[in-house]
Amino acid sequence: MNARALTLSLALAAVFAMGVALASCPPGGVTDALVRREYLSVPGYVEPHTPGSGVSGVEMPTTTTVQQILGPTPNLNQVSYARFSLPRPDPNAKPRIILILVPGFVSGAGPFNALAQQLVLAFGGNLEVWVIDRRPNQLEDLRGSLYAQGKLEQATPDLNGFLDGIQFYFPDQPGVDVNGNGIQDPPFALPDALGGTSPFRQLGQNDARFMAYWGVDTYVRDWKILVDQAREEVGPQGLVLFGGHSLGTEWAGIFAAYDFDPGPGVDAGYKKIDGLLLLELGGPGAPGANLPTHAAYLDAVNTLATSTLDTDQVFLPSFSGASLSQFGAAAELAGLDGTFRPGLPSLLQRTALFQTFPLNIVVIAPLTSQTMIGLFLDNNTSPVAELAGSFGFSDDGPNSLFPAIPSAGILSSFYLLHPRADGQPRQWKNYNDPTLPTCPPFNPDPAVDGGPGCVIRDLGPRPAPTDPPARWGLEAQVSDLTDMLQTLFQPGNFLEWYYGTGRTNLDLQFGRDSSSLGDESLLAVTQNANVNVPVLCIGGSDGLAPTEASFADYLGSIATPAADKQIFIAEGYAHLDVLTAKNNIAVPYIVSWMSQLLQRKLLGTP
Amino acid sequence: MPRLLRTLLLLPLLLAPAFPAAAVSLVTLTLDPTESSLTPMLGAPQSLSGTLTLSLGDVPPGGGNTAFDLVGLAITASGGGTIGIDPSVIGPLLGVLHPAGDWLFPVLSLLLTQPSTSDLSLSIADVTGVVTFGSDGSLASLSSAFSIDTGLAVGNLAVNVVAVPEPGTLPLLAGALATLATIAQRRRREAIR
Repeated sequence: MNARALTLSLALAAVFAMGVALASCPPGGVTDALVRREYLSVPGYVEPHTPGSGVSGVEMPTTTTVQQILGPTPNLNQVSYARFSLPRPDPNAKPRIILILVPGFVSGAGPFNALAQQLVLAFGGNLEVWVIDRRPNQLEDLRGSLYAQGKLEQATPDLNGFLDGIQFYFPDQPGVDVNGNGIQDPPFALPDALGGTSPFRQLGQNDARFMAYWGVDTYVRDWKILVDQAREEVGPQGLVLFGGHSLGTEWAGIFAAYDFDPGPGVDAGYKKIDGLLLLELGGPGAPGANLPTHAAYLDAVNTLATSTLDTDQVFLPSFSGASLSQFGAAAELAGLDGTFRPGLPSLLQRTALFQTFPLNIVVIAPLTSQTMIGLFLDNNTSPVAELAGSFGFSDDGPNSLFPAIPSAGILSSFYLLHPRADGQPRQWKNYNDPTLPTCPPFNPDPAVDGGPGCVIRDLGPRPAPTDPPARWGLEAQVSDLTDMLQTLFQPGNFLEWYYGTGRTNLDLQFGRDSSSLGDESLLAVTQNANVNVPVLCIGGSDGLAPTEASFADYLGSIATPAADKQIFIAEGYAHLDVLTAKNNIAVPYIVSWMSQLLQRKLLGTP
Repeated sequence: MPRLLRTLLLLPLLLAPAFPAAAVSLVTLTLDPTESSLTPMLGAPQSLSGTLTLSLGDVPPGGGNTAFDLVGLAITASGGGTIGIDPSVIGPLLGVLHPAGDWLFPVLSLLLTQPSTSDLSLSIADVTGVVTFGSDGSLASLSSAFSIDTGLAVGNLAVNVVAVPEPGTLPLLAGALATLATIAQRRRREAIR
């Protein structure tokens, strides 16, 4: 009988074949390791202004800076994604389900590893997850990170080489001696794609004016290529599901609502997919007020494309006051440092980035790189707690509460880690450390007395269904910092260094309906009211979508029957946890939803 | 006996497993240990015994596919291990039965236990098999053979399953049919009067 089957299980073989105790297997490690992660790029939508399009008279040139990163004639019309799969006994076997996910604000494909692994395993390889890495990610100058990684991965790690990698991005400055050799070294240079050598090539706005044409239309047409490819793989009896996390839910809803036929016909995105998965935000909203006219829209695009002013931004230059691309580089290096030098003082703290404003007011204690990453990713210590997860805590020194300053973009308070009395670097306790300090019920701030504070907060009772969304429940500690460290320096990393803003912000003003623009060749979000695919919404009670009401606006705007609108709220989960949780309590719900959709498809039931 | 009371008493029989008219029915099958086995590539075969319970749509299927869901599984290997449905799965394991009697579980999520060791969750893709039907349309047997690829040097585990409706089900089904026949005969008599 033809039966192909897959498993994950060294332990199974041990039980039934070899008599070896299951307890001898590393928990979780064996199965997680079997999921294959590949970073792939395929030809994307041919946006004519984009370098490499080949459209004479329209294609824009590349600057030397871009060429040093990507070569003299780069083709930037690429769509990249991280593909998660299980190797099959039959190499020609195709999955029955492909789930395509869009990352959120300033996010690369990195944070999706844990969720993708768990979903792939739950389907025994009959499902693949493809996490999109948006176009701007290809502009990142990763030479220094790759160089540094190579030095640390040697049989005998080369610490000086690693420091060179750091100085590629963060060279010495007056008073800043990264490698401690007592002299101010020049920036460390590496071979570049033009055959010379150069230090970090950080893009300015004028290096990326072509991004004026990387709007919603370009992105969704990139993703349509992946959707079409996925459909080819799963066949008509399989499922192609589309979704996103955070701001990615807005992108996902827009994909479903998009009319890919710029003419009078309709080629709707939702007809290409079998369902929508919205993770931790409520999908696209209604059009904003004061939308640009057609003429104003074209003017805005032209300004973005032709301006020489840094204030006409095609990408987000900074985040929380620090350069986003430097943040991205620092995250790569800190991930390496924390992975290969656990428990040791972070070498990143030697750089000018951490010795100057604004990071020098957030990072005030000697830290390990694990603690540094924990500080920025954990919802108790991050200055942007709304976008963080539950990765553990640091309680080996005094913590104080930094107040929320909404006018400065700090929307909630967070713990500030102070130096230890003995001068040693602050260490990080991972999510599963049994000594993480639990707060009293409805804990206010026990750190004000100079103590370490507490991490497992009680956010109070669940709001009534009719109440506005509000956080509730007992905070969970579910996300593994050790895993996260590795996602920071893998292909398809954690941050999107050059997150597109100018054109995408222009487009996203229209939300789920761009009809008023009246030009489908520019933007065609016109089918939202007709969207009638099943939708599963996952929120975190400590996140940005803490109750069912968080999804009500979008769900009320589409044609999907009520029975096919499902919502699950994971108690205690913060914003990133729905992606990064180790034993994600949302996974069984997602698996059940997908299984039902697949059975319906196989039964031929609408 | 009042007709309503009689109908109520007979209701369980009318809803007995494998009755063709029912939209959904439960069938419990018993593994035949002489034909059900788990064979490691390295090691002796172990026999499998126990039961599996299916929730079925219309059987035998008419013109199209029908639901074929695994709602219960309690299997013991002769080596002492047990196999059940992974309790973390929400709802039954969803499958499809084709008109020809071949069936498919796109994923079979199992929990394996062994005395004095940790439990193991295991998902197997595309498990297939065949069911046969008796002359009365009831499910008569189920069989499946599939392999589990460990991806490791120990190689594959070959699994064979042959199951038939559990003994207790057959008398129940026979009783239900006999009662229905009696009711029909009585109705015919009443109609003649």
